[in-house]
Amino acid sequence: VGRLTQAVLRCRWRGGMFGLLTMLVMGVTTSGAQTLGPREYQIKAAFLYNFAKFIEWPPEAFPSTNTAINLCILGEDPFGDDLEQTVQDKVINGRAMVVQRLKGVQGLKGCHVLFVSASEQKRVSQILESLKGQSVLTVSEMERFAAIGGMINFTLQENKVRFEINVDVTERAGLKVSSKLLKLATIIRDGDRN
Amino acid sequence: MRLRTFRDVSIKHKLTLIIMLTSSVALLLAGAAFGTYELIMFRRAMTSHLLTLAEIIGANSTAALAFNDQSAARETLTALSAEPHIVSTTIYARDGRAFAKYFRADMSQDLSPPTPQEDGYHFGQDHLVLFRRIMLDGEQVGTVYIQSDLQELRARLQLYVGIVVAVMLASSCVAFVLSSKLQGVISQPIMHLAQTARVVSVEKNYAVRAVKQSQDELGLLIDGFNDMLHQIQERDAALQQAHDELEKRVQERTQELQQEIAERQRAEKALRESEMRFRSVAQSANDAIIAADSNGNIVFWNKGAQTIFGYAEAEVLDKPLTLLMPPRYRDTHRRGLERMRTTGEAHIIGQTVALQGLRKDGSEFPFELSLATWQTEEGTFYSGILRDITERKRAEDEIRTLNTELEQRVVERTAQLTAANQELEAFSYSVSHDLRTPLRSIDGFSRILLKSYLDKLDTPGQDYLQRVRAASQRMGQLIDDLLELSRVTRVELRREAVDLSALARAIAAELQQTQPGRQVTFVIAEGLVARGDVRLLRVVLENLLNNAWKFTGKLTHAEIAFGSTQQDGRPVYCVHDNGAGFDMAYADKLFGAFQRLHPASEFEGTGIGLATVQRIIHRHGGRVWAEGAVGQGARFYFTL
Repeated sequence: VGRLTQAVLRCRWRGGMFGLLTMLVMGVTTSGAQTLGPREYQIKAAFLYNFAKFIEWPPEAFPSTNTAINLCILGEDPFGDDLEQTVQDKVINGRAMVVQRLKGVQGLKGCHVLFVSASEQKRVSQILESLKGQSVLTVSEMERFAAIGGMINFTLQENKVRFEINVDVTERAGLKVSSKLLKLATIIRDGDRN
Repeated sequence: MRLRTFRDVSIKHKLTLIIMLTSSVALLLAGAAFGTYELIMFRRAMTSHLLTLAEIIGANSTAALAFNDQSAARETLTALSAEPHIVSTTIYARDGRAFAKYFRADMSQDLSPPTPQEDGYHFGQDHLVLFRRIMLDGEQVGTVYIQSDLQELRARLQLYVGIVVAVMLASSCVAFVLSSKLQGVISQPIMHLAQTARVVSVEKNYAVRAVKQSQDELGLLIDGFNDMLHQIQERDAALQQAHDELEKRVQERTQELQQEIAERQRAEKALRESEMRFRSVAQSANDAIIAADSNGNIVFWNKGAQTIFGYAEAEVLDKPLTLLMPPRYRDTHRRGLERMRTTGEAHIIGQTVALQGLRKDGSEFPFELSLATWQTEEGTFYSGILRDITERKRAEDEIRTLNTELEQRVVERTAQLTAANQELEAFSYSVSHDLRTPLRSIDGFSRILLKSYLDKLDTPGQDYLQRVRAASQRMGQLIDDLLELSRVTRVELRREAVDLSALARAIAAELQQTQPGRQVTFVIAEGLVARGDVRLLRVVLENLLNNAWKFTGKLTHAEIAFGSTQQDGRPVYCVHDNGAGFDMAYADKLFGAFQRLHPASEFEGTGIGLATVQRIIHRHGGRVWAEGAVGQGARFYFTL
């Protein structure tokens, strides 16, 4: 079903892709199920893209002013084509967004946004450890991701996709998170060990 | 308010009204301008404020929209409760649905439009609504809609109008008070001027003057007015004077005209009298007096004409002059008249000519005509005076005949006289010549008696014989002189250049030799040359100089002069002396033969000399005369 819907929708996205996406998200949120189904990852893909708009990387994170923002996916890819479709032809602050799928931890340091797939739950501490001192926005959908040193963690509240942000981690990584984003997020600090 | 137009209101009130009206209008306009400006600026500020609000809301809503968080958006909107004029606000999502809404507490219903519109704002009856897109990183993520009421604007306008009205009222009061006080500066002099002008026009009193109170245009106006009055006053006086003078002149002129008329009447009277005189003279003249116009028609005809031509006046008036001429003269007359009319040439005007006339009875007669012309406005007129000269012609003819006869007789008589004269001359010559022979015998024999028979005669006898001899000698001299006189008459005249000076000098020398003891001074002018017969002129000079010599004989210092003067361009020769002279009463007798003014005992002479001189001078065609006084010398003049 998910594939078919995507195929049907794809041709309509040319006119107003983001609006349509939002409409789909609304449709999903009103469905009322705890699992949002295949639309969940469409929403999350959009969120991944939108995060980049509200995060400010330190200048050294980009070799030049037009270096693309690398959106890396480590582990099993739950998005399918959604990420590519979301970031296609988009420009954030003068930079394009490029999606890279990583099989191992090599090349992590070249990422700007790293989505750690649920498949990597066991190695997450190691991954986060390797990224210490790097200005890489780490995003995941694992329980307590933000608490264990991740930066943003997707949650579901009242059938809506929400997220937690560990402001201590982002601060250490030299990333500035917009207050607007913070206003929408559940703030996590290093001390919180729930 | 009375029914008076503004035009008729006193200038005092006009000024006040104008000032108040002006200040009110100015204030009103300024108020309106400031009000408009205030309105525009306030609206702009309102819009700007609303826009800022929309921007803030938009900016604060970007994350909520991006992450689809409606509650966050709503929370953002609740902050608007601090803005009492915001009625409602709506955030629309990118797809146009209302994403979050806000109403003011007193609003019960949703006034926001169901779908968003383009960016912009719009003022409604009592609302200002504004749409603003919400942008995130160059992408539209939604639209914000804000509606504000206009209470603030309204309150502000009310306050503004209230202030303007108050200011206008206050300023009107101030303007009224000020203008009432200040209008006098302008109106007072004008009213004073008007009052003065009224006095001038009503009383005709040009002596009044307006009082000048300032140096501005009003002062100039008053100066000008006064100046004008002054000029009018002067002109008035001048006019009066001119009027008086004119009247005087009219009187004078009238008097002159009356005199002129009287004179003209006198002149006309004189003219009439003259005309009458002329007419009576013309009518009563024996000569015919005829006048004609330029066409040759008779316009005047007197009694003399009637007598001469036989026509009555009525018969000839307006008839052509040719009536009075024999037919053969008529063409010539017409041509002459025509020529005179065209060229003005007149051969006979002013002259007396003899012509032939034709009487009524057809007979011709000669007459004498003197013609005159005169010009009048009606043209040229001719007048002629004609005299019948039939009688005179006849008398003239007679005289001519008589003259011819007389001349014939003179010629005959002259021939007779010439013959007689020649005979007489011959006789006289022969007598003189024949008388000499016995005289020579008497003289000769008496000389012989005195020579040869002196001792036989006693003293008386000798004396008698001496007397006989002297008498015979004198007779001889007498005969010589007579012969000379007759020779002078007979001899033929041979004219040549004669040096009178040399002749006189020679004669003087001869005279000196006859009586060497006498002291006589001769003064003879040099170079006197005349044309004449040298022998006869010598006789003339001999006689004259001899006379002078003779009549100065009793003087110790005699002076004799011969010279010439000019008279009428011809030389007059003169011999004069300082001798005995003569009485001018006898001057005409001097040149007669045998005429002597002095006794022979005193000055010897025959009395023929000056007669001979006169004859010779006359033969030369000259003249001789003498001047002198007793004891003061004599002057003999002659011309040749």
